[in-house]
Amino acid sequence: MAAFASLLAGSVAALRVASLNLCSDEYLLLLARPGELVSVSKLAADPRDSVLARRAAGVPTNRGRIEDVLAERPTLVLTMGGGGGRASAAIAGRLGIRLVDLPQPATVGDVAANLRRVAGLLGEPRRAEPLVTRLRGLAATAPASRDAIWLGGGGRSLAPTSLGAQWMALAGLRQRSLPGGRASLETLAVTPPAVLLISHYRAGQVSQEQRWLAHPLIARLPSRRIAADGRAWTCAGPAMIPEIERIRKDTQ
Amino acid sequence: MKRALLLGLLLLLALAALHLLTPALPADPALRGMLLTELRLPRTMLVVAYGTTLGLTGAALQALFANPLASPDITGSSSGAALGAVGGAYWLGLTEPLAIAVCAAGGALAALAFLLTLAGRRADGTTLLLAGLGISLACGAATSLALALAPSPFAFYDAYGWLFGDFTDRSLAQVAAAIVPATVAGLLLLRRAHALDMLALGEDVAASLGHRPRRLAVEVVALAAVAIGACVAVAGAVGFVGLIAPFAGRAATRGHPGRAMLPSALVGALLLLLADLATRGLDRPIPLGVITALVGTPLFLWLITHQRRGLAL
Repeated sequence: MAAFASLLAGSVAALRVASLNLCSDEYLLLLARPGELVSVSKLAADPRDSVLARRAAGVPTNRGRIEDVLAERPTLVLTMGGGGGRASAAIAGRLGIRLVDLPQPATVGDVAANLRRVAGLLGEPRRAEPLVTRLRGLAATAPASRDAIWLGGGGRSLAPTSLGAQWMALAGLRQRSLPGGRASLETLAVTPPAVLLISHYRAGQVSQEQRWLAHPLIARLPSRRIAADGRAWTCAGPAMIPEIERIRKDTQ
Repeated sequence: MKRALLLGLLLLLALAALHLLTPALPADPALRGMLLTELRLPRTMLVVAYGTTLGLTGAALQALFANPLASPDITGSSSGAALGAVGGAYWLGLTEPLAIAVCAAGGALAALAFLLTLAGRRADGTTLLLAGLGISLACGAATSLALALAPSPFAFYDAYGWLFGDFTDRSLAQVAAAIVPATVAGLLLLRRAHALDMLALGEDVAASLGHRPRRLAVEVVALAAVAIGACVAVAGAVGFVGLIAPFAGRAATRGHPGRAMLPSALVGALLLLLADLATRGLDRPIPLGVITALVGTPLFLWLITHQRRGLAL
């Protein structure tokens, strides 16, 4: 009994999770309980970069290096896509910190798998279920697909096989294949898509890419224009679930 | 001379038409009209205006400094203009194309004024070249820094466009902000052709003929800065055309630097149209300045080695 209590106390005290990457931050901000999360990346707390910034309020931030989070004494550090590098893994190993590098999802199914995995690492696989159920629901009820172009600043778009395009498919939007992954004004004018999914990521800040989006020709295209919250599309991770639900509502 | 100019003008028209129609237009007449007026024509006009400006200001600056290497890029005025435009757009938050053009003209003017104080109006070739190079490098670095530190994370990717030139998808409002000031300043520069020819005979000769060399220098520098600034603010800094075109222009006028302005302007427009056509032939966008530099550097090197004695390099 005493052993069990100490084990319980130990496991509760032991759960101190940090994340070094905006994309791994998302999973923790959605699944971790207050107190479990001891550090997220600086970007996760920036409302210009993260849809979950409000949840990150009050959580200490890091610049993506394991050195930044050591002071928080984490027991588990999450990265994604090899973030942190070999040195980080070596430091973590020496200090007895468990470092988990989540695989970069290539499919929507990978996102669900990552959700389950992170929930498992947090000791409660059940926590992933509500989100995974919503994701399954989206996949089961995907509307018939329409020709669409995801449009960021400067004509940046998505490859039809990309993770972002798979999310679009869940909203009934079929990303068109574009040379170099970019739409030109001429392409848009000559063959306008049924739907233009326009990202307003950092729209208030000056760049040539933003200026391109303000070209009068885009305003006159016959395409149905729907706003994309570009922040969620950076990682195209679990924060896309509410984004796709919203886009579906907007396209109806 | 007149016949050559006329021939050049016809060639320019033909090339501009080719530029306008590349790649092929769609069959739908309404769509074709929109593409032509909204995208193709603004680009062709911008390229022609920018090329003309480079040839014209290059010839004027070379006449003023009595140096065949003085051009918008070598004097640092192009990169000064880019720095001014970047400062105005990314740091002061200006969005009106004309306001950005004013900032760019200010940058070009500052670069030229700095060059004049560093090297002087009748500096020997080496001093002018090195001082201009120094200003140009410093402005280029400052532009990259200003973009790297700008609030938008995408700003840094714009460095290519600002430092190598970019003509893609400019709106009519932007093109107008380049063309109108550049044309006015260019015409006023052309009116100084005769005075610049007299200046080539020496300051005393020019003064004895009723020209005021000091005032002429201020006017030429200010007008060149306005013209270059307006173009750079919209399309970024394009190198080497301002160096090559006057070279051809002077050959056509047997060395009269002032009179060489008009043919230089024509050659500049032709060269830039050709360079932009070359970028359109490729299936991925490349900065225009890369092509002009590839073509221009051999000539630049030839000019330097050709004049090595005079420049004492």
